[in-house]
Amino acid sequence: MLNNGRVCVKTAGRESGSVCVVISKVDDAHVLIDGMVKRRNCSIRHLEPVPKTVKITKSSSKKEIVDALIELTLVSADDAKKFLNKKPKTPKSKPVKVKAVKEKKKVKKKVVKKEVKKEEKKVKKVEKKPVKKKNSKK
Amino acid sequence: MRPGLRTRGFKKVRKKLPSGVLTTHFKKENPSRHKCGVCDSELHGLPRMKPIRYSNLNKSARTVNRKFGGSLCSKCSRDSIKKIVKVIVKVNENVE
Ligand SMILES: [Zn+2]
Repeated sequence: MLNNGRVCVKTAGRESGSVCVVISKVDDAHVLIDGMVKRRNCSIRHLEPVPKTVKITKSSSKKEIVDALIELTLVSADDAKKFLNKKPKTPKSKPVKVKAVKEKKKVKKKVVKKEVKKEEKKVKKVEKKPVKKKNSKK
Repeated sequence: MRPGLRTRGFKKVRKKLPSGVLTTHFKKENPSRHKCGVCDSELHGLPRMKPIRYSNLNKSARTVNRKFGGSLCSKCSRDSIKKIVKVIVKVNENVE
């Protein structure tokens, strides 16, 4: 029944209702199909055969098969044009957010100054203490 | 009962609080499940919401990605496609 070139209609899944052609047999339960669908293996139970055939080979392109289906008046030319020109859906790339670059405040080098201050203080303390003591003694 | 709650649109649920007091809680009922147009069986993959919330959903959440998806079940959609194919074949034969 489902020989090479047999025209079928898919009855299950997201491609249901679309016309396809059997290209080759895979095993007892599966065939390779192409046409108004993606070229893929399909279960026989998901196909409804139509009493029409198309002359094709395994190397024939998708456009050749669709043109043959248009000749059989199973597919309208407008639908075929839409299907062939359909671009594969790609997820929208998010617009890259450009962050407003803030002017960085000039960081004061506190560490260096502290060290300097500490050193200065130590020096002062050392200087002052003996001076005070001298004063007190006097 | 509050005047705004005196409608039949609310479902009344008698509840016993932890303190032992019996009260009534008022709930808005969800609509019934979506059903197949031919065999009247419940459809899968469609949420049960009020129309206002339903319209806020995405298209993919509101339907099933199939011919007649969201209105017929998978079995009935397959049967109807087979019927349509037979009709188209007959029409084509008569034209030729
Ligand atoms: Zn049904």
